[in-house]
Amino acid sequence: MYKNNNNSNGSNSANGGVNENLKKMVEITIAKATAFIKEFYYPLYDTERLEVLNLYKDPSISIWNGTECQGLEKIRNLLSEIPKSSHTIETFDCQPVQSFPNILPEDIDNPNILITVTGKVLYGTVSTHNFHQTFLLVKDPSNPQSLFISYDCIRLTS
Amino acid sequence: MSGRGGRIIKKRGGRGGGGGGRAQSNPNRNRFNVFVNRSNNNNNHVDDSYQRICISNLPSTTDRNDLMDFLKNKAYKPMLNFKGSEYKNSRFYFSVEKPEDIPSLVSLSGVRYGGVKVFIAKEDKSSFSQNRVVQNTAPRANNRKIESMKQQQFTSNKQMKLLEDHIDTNYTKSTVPELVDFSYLYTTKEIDFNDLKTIRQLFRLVSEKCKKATTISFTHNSITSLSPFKAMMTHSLDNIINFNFDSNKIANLSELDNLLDLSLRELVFTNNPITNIPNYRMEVARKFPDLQYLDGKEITAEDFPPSPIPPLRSNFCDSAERQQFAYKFLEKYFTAFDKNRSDIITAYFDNSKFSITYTQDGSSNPTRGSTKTYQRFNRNLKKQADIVKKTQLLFDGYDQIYNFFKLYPTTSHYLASSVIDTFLAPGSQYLNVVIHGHYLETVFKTKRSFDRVFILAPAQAGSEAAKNGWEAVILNEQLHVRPYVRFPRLEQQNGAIAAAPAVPDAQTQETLAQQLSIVTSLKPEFAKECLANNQWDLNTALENFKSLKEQNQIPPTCFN
Repeated sequence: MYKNNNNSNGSNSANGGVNENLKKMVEITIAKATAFIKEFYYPLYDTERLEVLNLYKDPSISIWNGTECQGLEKIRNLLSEIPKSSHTIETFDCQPVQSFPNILPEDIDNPNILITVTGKVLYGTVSTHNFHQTFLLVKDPSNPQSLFISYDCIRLTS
Repeated sequence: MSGRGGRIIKKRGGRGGGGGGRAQSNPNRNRFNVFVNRSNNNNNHVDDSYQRICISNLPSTTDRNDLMDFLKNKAYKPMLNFKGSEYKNSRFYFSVEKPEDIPSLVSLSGVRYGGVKVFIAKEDKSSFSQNRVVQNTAPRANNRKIESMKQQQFTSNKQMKLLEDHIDTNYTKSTVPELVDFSYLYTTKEIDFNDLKTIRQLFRLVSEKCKKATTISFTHNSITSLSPFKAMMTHSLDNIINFNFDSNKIANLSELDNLLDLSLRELVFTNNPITNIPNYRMEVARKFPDLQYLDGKEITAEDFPPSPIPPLRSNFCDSAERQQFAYKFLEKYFTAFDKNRSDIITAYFDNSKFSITYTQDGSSNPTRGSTKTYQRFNRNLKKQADIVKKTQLLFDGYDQIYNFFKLYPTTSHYLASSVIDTFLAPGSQYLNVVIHGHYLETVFKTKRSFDRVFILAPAQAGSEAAKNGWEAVILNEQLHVRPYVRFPRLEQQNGAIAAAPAVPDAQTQETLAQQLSIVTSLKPEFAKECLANNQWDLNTALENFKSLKEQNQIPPTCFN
């Protein structure tokens, strides 16, 4: 459905050679990812850390620099263990994650979302690092219009 | 056992280490010789009977006679006569018969000859020794520019010569081939070690002439910036592992980032302001995971105060089997990516998604090399862009994705030194692989760090991917490219799952068994068994062997 985009960087047609369905899905994905990053995850993480728990569900996993925490209880422990933080976001990106193989029609209005974020993080008062964090946001079966964190995976890269 | 190369040799007394006795002999002599020989004058003194003009910005292939005629006409001086010419240091020198003709020639400076703007000045012989080539006849902006241009060129040639002489006298004849010493050259020979050109020349000379060197000493040189030292990357100077910067003016930790491309064993910054920075030792040790000595003191656990954060661990996986699967995929993928990139196309399908983000370091030139490509396709959503652009930068399907990778620089990835997390998203069959590593751009010789996320699904039997030997197909991929920085020191994973790295191939198994057998005198078959029981990790195997031996748990029949 989203194929036939042969003029890959197409700029001749009025919409820039972009498939309308894809464009719509990108628009929705970006709006949700932006809100997640700027209004929820990082502001909460840096100020009211445990509120972040509301963004996970029980099967969720959080992987902190090679250590996995599965389930709300373990994620809560992890969140409590990490000292006060201050994140500065430098880049972020997101992609709709589609079902595979491509049999079912895509849920254009509410796709799952892959998010990657990079930036700087200060833990406590002296420990500054670069970080890279990956999130997969997936549909909440009990409330199909909302998403929750299926997993997040963070690495300090300096 | 000492590692590669000796330790930094401590400062020698006074200036002996660097200055050298011949510092004050006339460093310009060799320049004059060219000139003197041409005018058949055997004195070391310059005594050309004609004054000369100097014309810059033209290639040596320029027709001199035509150029002379052109200048005569332009200056409206039909009686003007040139008496000989010379091409030297990218400039023409024309001897002028009558000195009174020189001002009208010099006033032509800036004229176009064959479409090229040429600069003309009077040669001032007396000023050679004062580093000034041109004396202004008129305080014109152009002339000032030329002067500074020439002065730079002159200084640079002079420094090159000085450096070469220095290496020839102090290194080539030295009995310590491991050490190249450039100490005190700022004070004794005015060599500017903060200048990129100088450092470039220096490293070129070192790579040509000091092949055995492991240590370079730059003490007492008023160095404030290490950014010229990035130039080392363009020469293969991997043998240099110790740097001595004692008694310089390095003040910022960020200066050290210019050395991050190097695997260093020892650094010395004593008598630099940088050593007063709080947590200085810790910060340096963190930046250089290979570093063993700093300022003459070994780096130990004390240099890493208790961290406020939980430990950083190496590769995570939720199942050893899936980890193997992921490694196998990555191995095939990156081999193709580096060596035969068109092969990766079949690892994607119709609806695969790919995008790239990029962070730049302050010093890299945005118009140079691959930086332009990264910037052009950078989909950083933090920045404002219209939705069409954002959609275009999400490459959709194998065609678009491969078209992008055609523009990507040629690379050489170091998979073995990567950190790779492998796990299933809860409740799904999608394998998520997050890899942090670095690659070398083989053309531009630039190292980059990257973070790359793959969401993989098993390749369907009969699919294009499966036919091409891919066990998985890429659903989503996000690539982040950033300046090269070493990954922080990691603690090794413990626990059953993590301790199941790839089983080495038969040949490696044999080699390991042989090594263990030599150290322990175990019979080869028992050495092999011991290794197999310890995940083929030689050190673990050896440790367990030792403790078992101490408890007399190994029957004598196991030994040779």
